[in-house]
Amino acid sequence: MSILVSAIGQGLTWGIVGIGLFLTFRILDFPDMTVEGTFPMGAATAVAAIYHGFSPLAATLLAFCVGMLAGLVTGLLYTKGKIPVLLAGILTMTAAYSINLRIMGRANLSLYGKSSLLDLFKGLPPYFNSVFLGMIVIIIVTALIIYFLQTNLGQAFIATGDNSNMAKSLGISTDTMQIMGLSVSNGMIALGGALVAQENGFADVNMGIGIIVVALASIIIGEVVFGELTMNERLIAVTIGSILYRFVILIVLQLGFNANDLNLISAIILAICMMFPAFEKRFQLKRSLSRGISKHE
Amino acid sequence: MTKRSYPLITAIIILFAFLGYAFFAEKSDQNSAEPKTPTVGILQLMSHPALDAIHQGIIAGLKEEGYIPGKNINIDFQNAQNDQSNLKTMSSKFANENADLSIGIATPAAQALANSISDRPIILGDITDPKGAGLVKSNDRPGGNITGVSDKAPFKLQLGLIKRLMPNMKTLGIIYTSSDDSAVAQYKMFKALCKQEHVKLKAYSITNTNDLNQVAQQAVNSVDAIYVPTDNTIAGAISTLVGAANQAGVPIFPGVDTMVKAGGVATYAIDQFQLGVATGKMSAEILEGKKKPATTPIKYFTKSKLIINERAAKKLNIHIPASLMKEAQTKGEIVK
Amino acid sequence: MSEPIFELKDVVVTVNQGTPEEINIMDHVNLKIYAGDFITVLGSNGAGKSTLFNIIGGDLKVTSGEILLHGKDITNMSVEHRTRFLSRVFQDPKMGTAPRMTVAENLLLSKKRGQVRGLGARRLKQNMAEFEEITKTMPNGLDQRLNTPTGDLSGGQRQALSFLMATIKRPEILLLDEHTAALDPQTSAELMHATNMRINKDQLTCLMITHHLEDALSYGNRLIVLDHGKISYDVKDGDKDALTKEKLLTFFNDIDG
Repeated sequence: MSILVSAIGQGLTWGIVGIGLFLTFRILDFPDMTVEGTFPMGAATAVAAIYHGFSPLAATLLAFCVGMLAGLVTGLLYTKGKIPVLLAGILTMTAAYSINLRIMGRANLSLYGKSSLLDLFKGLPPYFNSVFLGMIVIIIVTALIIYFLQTNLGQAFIATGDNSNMAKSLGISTDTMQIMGLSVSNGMIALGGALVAQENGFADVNMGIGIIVVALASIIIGEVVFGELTMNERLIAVTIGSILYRFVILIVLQLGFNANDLNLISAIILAICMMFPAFEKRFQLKRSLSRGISKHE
Repeated sequence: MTKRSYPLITAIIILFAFLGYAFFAEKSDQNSAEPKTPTVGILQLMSHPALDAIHQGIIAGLKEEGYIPGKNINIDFQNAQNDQSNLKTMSSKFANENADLSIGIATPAAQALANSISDRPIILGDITDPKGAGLVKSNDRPGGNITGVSDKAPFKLQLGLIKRLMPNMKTLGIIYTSSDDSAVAQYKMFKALCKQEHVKLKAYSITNTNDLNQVAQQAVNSVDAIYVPTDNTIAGAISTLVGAANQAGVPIFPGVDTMVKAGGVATYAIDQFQLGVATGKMSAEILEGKKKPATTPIKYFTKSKLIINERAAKKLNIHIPASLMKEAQTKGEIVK
Repeated sequence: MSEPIFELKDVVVTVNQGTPEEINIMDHVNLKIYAGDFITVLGSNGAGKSTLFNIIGGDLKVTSGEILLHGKDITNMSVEHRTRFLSRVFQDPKMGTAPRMTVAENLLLSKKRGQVRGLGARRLKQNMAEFEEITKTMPNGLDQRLNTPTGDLSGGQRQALSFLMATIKRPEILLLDEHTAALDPQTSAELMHATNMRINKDQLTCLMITHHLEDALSYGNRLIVLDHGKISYDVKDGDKDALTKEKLLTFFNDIDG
């Protein structure tokens, strides 16, 4: 049973990364590769800061700020430098590798024996410290984003992603909106990195590899499982999707699958999830499902 | 809230209900029955010959101490494929199945285990610097639940061998992966040794296998020989390095025997398999309660054997003195 | 006669400068627009109608000349800045609305056209009554669909909404760029009728590009014809009332009546 609790704990922590990516991927509607550099940057910053005597809370907030800077760089490259956003993100991500090595001074920095945010939750049953930490952060973050999206600025932000030409004609500075979105998004991803590093007990310069797939999985599983929802509900669904993704990995491992196959299985699951809407249409799944159910009543 | 929101709300309710149940259930359920057959978890960072050899050695070492997998011991072997989140998930798995003892092959694996398990022993296999990795308080008295075997390479012997086989060498090059902590640690130690022995050393680093080709080309044009420490990344792409070096007629002196077999010239190599055996034996002793991790000092496995690749030496016109050939024949290994 | 609220002074736009293809797509244009003018704009393809709108809107920079608003020089004012007093409806129904946001949300965004948007709550519910009232002026059921994402609406509904969005916050100058051209004849006529009612009711200053001769003649108090970047014809009030379709046709070639 603790294995399930551990999966939930990880799902909550990684949910923050998912919500961060949601802002750029779903609302602004573009692929941000910066995240693969920002995630380890958050981890490296937090661990290095704790190493140098910062409190875990200060270290984690510092990681958030550093992430925002990274997003800002990508935003400027894209809006002012006119570099296509995918490439802009890749540039920042590539630069981040060297920067992360500098931050830590080495490729891999351990927190073993040092303090972390998890210390706030001592004396609980196994893995509940992650669950509580993750839960608190997710609730705060989700609430803030929900509030933000319902302000005038938030509406302008959504409009920019929905129809940027219309937004411009309404006097919205789409450049500013996009920079802001990239900034906040990467800040959150760095925050996720900082939390994951404290949970795992170390930061590693290669931690970011493949995390865009993990973050996408959370978003897409949430959408496929829960269907069409309001914007606020979709944000919550990302976190649940993240937890479900962790469950799937768990099942795969318990079934005895070779860890070598994990990447392939993740890709298959994600592909199926993404093709699901098309399947549904083709085979009228929903209709026949509900017809089948009502027949038995 | 619309009907559409029902699945989401249901999911959240189930989640909280489960967490609540697990919270109170866990609190009272601290005494699970000990499984009769001990379970040993082995977490390997990734696949490559040196780490695989250690794995095999561990099984052999356990067997030597009377533990036969499947009969009186369960081995749970997990390969993390160099993925950080896998390391975490697999360590949690060991913790959850109450593995009596866990073994970590390579530093990141050991660190992941250390983070998940604090109440059962963890044995390190192939960790260059346990104290530096934050795993033990001191290498003599680990102090916690972690101890193990370290693979301190016999740098002095290796450098001596290089000097003997390359008497006219002006510059020695070294190539390592900057993102591999253990490789970086070895580089630093080797660099200090070269300074001591007045050997001119030129350093080259790569971030991943993609850089290797270009960096190798650069290196082979500026040095007379290249030393490669125990480096997981380069080990996986050794043929690229060997190819570039052979083209330029520059010999490679690796730190591991598997790399000599792949085209390096010669080295004094720690027998990875034997290192594994030592790890397995130490694990057996701790399993039986004969020793405790806190008071078991890190074992430095320094026994090395001379391994010479005859074909590579011939190709690069390196003359191997008869005494060395004899030593390799009797106490080491010759690769044809 | 009062002062013009909007004026183009000797505006020239040159393209392909320095090459053999150099040409003035706006050729010394002078235009005085007075408060309350409802000007229909005609011209054959390539005559410069959209160019005129792009200059007024700021999407295109002039090569020489001045643009004045209430006598103030706004020639170099950015597009963003101009949205404070200017709004525009395009021909394509998809261009004017955000498809994933609801009708009400779109209207709310338009209400703040050109204003700084801060972290204050959006107050959507408080505005619903006003939105209901406004959408009732359109005959296509928009008022029943305030909470529908605009992507689910028909072209006619989206275009009607675009018009409402352009006028919910009073613009000093309204540009209608063939805004009924992409609709079927009935929807087109309905929208045109509603447009006219609104412009008259609020005394809006408006320029409307159209290819329909009848619309050009029957709506508005003023009519201009563009030809090769120049304003070749400018009639208003009585002269416009007296204008016939035949006389108009003599002024240019391909037009669909």
